[in-house]
Amino acid sequence: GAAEKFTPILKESKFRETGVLTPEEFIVAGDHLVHHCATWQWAKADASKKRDYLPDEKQFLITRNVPCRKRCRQMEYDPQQEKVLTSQEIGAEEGFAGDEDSGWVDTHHYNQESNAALELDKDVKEEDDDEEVDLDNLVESGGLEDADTNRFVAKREIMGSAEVEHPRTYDLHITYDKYYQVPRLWLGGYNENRRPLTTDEMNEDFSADHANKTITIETHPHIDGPPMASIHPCRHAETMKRLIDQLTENGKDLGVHQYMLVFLKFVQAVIPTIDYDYTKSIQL
Amino acid sequence: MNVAFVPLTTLADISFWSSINSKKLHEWKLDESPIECFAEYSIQDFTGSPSRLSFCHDSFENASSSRFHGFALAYNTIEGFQNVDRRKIIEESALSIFHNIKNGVWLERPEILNTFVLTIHANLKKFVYTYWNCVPALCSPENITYVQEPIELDTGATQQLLQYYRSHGYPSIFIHHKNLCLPLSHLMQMTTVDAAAAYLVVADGSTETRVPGWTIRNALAALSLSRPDINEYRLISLRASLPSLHYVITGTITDPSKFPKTVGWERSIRGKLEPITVDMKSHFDPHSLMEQSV
Repeated sequence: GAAEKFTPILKESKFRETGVLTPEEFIVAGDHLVHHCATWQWAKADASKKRDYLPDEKQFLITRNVPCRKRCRQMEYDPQQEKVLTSQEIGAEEGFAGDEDSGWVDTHHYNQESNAALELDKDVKEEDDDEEVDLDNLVESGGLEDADTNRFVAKREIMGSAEVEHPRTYDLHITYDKYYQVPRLWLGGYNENRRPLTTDEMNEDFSADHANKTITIETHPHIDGPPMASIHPCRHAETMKRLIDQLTENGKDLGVHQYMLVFLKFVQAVIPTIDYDYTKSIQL
Repeated sequence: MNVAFVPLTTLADISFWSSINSKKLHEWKLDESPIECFAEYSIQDFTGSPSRLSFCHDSFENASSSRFHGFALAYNTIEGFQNVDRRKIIEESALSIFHNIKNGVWLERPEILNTFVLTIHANLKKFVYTYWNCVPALCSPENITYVQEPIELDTGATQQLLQYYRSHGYPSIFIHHKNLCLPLSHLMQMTTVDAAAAYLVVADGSTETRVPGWTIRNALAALSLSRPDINEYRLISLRASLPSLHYVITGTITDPSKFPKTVGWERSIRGKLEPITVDMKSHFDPHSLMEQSV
């Protein structure tokens, strides 16, 4: 919008001081992500949405087909299990240590192991009857193909587990938000019938604390099309700044190229059941 | 163990349907000619997600060599979509693959084996889209069985193959023989003994741990039709996120000059030969969008 148009482009690095990135640093951090997690790739923009402060071949990042095996509410949500995570806990294994007010909520903190007794509530079951349009009569498919005995047919598990009943997949995009000067995550999901999810359906995969606040529906900066779900970036810089500070205090100097790995780790709190690769194996 | 290949699942995102909206209105209009289209597949995906062919915002523009190069057929009416001769569509597409095998084009450009025909009807008033994709697979040889069932390739060997794959422009098929990676074009110069001992390495998007994927089928067909002097086919399913697989297949070929049986119309989640309908009203309809906006 107008705000974006009049925001000057960052020329000098301020990521240590304020947690924000220049477009050049976004590219460096994106290259590092693509190198270490090949599931992430650079993508081109639609012609009309190309931003000249980013290279044509590196307008934004995409990872596709990320499994999301269950809904947030199927994680046996219980307020007693909820814990507001300190920055220390968000990044404990990377050696972060810090204050108490980063404000990310882990909705299943005290429930690391137990997902044995997943119960579907009624309206989840109703989704099963997904209004599949019966096209048997619409298209004459009889005799279309000879029998194919070498086509793999997935066993549909009959364990009654929600994990296999409702597998969804997500495509995730990371764009450079010029106004907030931070990376921004966008989401588009598919149901088990390969249909794009509606906003309401996707809300089931956002942690309860974020679903109607942190997630907004807005126009994608590089794709012509209808609005998409996105994690609003208004608090990204301060959260990143806090994480960077803690790392420094612990004698671990975060290079700007590692920015995206930390970013992906903290947005996991918003989308706890979307199992994307933020590469646990990388040593920060 | 029956030889089975994981079929590809068509995943079309919102931006793809959005590009259909604008192309249909402004470019194609009532023209129903085939349109070049490029779909992304990946050897990077994890188990728990489908082996996919992705259609997205740049599917009509981005002709990257690592994509499937196919055609979209957009019909003006649902009747046109229903009544099209789908046997003819798959046969024509498979026949062009067959010719490219017989005339040796596949040896220089193995990616021509990876193609599709996506049939579409877009109802732009109701924002309802009906589609049915076809990824042709030539069934040659016939009556295939495993001489050796799929075994995971060790990590070191996979790394060597991936390094070659990434540094040579992502060839969809190449050869691994005597510890060396070679371009596919070497296949026809190899002696029968060498060709029988060599592995055909195929970029494979299968997300099933122990099961090869759809791209193996045309690679196997091309190998069997090009080298009738060998009868055991050594194959490697090259994957980056899951362990790669190696295995040996055999089968029968009565006449290598004969156009083989072809399959490939996509099954729905119910396992049926039928199209898929997506209702995108909540994404595209201005009234629905107004209700969502805060």
